[in-house]
Amino acid sequence: MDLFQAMQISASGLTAQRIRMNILASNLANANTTKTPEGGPFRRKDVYFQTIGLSELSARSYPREAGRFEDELDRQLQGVQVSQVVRDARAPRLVYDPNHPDANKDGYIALPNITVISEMVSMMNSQRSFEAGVTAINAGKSMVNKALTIGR
Amino acid sequence: MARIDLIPVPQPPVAGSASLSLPGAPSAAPGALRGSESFGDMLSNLLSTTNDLQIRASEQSQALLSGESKNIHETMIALEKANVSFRFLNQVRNKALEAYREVQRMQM
Amino acid sequence: MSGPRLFSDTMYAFERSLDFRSMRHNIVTTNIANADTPGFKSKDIRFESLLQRALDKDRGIALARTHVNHIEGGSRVDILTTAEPDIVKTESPIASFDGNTVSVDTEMHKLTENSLLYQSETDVLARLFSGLRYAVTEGGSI
Repeated sequence: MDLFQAMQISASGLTAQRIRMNILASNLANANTTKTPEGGPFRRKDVYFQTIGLSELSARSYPREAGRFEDELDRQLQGVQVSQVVRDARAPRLVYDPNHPDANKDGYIALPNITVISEMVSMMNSQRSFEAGVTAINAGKSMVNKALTIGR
Repeated sequence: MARIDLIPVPQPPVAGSASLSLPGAPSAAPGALRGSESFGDMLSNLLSTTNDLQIRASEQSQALLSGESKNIHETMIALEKANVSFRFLNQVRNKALEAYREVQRMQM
Repeated sequence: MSGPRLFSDTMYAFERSLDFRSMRHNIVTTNIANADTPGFKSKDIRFESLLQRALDKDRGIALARTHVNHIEGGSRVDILTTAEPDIVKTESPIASFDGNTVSVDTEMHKLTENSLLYQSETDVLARLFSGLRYAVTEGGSI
């Protein structure tokens, strides 16, 4: 029943989307990068999300004597976290370009498997989720402020 | 059409008449004064209700301070109820005193 | 315990509604935060019918029943205190490849509506208290 829990949940969403956005932006910026310090072309990265329970979200313990329903409800409340950042394991895309400084002996360069449109759609999606999270936080704030007017 | 399922919630054992588990709940008994109830009874009931509400308001406030509860509206409501109840009690006391003084004057 | 009751059933119903709306707010923010989590199922709580049942105008304090199972027993206060909302889960996605059933647009709508109703109900409750405060202090003056 505590609106601050909701803010923690939303905050976790904002963090997760921000991380995702950074990864996507990096993919986009490196769509044509043929050489990286580790050798080989840039490899696309992806983020995977996973739920995270309330008790892990904050150090505060949640003692519950209020009754079964509140318990069940608390179990349903979950934030989100980035569980892993995964590198694209596919073989790089080979394109014939003998004049390129990074061309191999056969004249091919290796390019990342990145489609600009696809990354941009994901970014738009991530932005929308981020904004939804911000709206959620603002709604929670308004509700708390309104509750404070009881008794005025 | 999305399928919607109910999540089963474990049912507590049948509590019988434990219906006033929420301390803030108003008394379920009818509010009408019975003919045989004295003013003194009403007053002492009011006193005890006011006291309960004050205690609850205090508990809620402490819970807010300690971080145990962050339920703002619950705390605000508890405070307001205690406040209103106390003012009512005060008014009743004032009126009773006034009435008593009135009676005193009559005896002169 | 007899004696004058200061706080009406209606006020208590508003109180409970605020409780339920807080719960719903928490659930909706959970859905929004997990809009991109694979396999996550969108959830909600339903409490409107609970409130309606409790405030049914035919519900007196003592009901004359011709049959034991006829009408749900209990006063308004009992129902408001003990009845629990339903938690519902949306199992099948409308359009999704990873099993996630959250629709951000739907959740945003729920968020806004719930938040506005919470604020309205708080306002009404505050006014009811304010009216009561006036009645027990100034209103009694002749």
